[in-house]
Amino acid sequence: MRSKLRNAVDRHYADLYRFAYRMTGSRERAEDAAQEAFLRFARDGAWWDGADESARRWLFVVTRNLCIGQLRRDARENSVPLDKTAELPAPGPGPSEMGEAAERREWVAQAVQELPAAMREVVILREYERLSYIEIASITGCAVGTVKSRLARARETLRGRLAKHLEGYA
Amino acid sequence: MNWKPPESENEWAECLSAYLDGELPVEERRAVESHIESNPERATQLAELERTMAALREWDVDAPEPPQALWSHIEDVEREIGWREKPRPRGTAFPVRSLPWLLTAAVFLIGIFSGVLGTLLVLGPETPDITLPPQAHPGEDEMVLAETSPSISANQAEDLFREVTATGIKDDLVSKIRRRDWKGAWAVYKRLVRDYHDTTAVARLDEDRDVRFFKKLSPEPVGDRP
Repeated sequence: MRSKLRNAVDRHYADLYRFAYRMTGSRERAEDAAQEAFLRFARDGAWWDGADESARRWLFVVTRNLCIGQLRRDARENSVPLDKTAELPAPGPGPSEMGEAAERREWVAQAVQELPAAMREVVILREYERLSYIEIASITGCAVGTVKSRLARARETLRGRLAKHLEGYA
Repeated sequence: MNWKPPESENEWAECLSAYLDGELPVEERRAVESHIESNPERATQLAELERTMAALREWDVDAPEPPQALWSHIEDVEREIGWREKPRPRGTAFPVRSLPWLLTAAVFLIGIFSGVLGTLLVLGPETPDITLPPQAHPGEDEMVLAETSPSISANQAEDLFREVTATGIKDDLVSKIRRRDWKGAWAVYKRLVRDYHDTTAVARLDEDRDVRFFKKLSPEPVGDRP
């Protein structure tokens, strides 16, 4: 019989990885963050009552903090994640052989990555994790009103940046 | 409902964003819909926002399987701290672990009491009062009493009391660990190791499963936890 801890890894590892990847733009760092979150959970999570929701929220908080810490270190060192350029497109038109949908995804990825971290995290948690404003506030540690305004500003920014790439997109 | 349309662009952005997320109260939602129907500019803004959000959701990311190293570590942790076990009851009301030491201390105190009483009976009422030597330092009552016992030296008495005290502190540490009071546990642990490092209780600290778990997996609080 699998333990609750192992079941938690099965259920949440992929989501944590995707969240960290969208935050950092690096597969290596996403893997590190997701693993570290589970290691900390295994180490510190003796409080856990077995409820899936509480584990998920805790794991997201830790992963988010790890990503923010990494982004700050990157900013201090004035560098970008090692494989960011390999995985995200450089500015300019995408390869002509790339399908329209794939090209659009690349532009979206780049636009999200270019958002300030505080806006990026709320967009990711809302659009991809489908969390409510209250849940996002509990993970990011800010007020619901702040989540609301950051999300609105992030979307407006994305709307402006993606407008020309989304022409004719229904 | 007395709904007023937002005045600034920022307020409109927040309003439309919350509208699309279904985060507006029902009445406010209806008011926004009614306003947008008669305002093509806002309707266009809303449509563009919807289109942007739909495009965002196309960015899917493939996630790899959890690495073997993570499973291995989890296996270690499960073995070490018993994740598979049911939660243990919180600290027992009576410190069962201290029982041997408490019994030893009780026997010791009874011995002292008997010794003093016997001496008084043998010497009789004419014997001048035994004046205990003045205390060299506050808190050394136990030392003074121990000096009156013929069966144990002052150093032995001190050692014994240090053992009893260290064991009591260790029980406090275990109790805090079980309550997941990490900050308190670290404070007690530091005190124990600093002040009672020469006791058996500290020497055998690592034999306690809770203490091993605590030392290995709970770093000193540094304030970077969620």
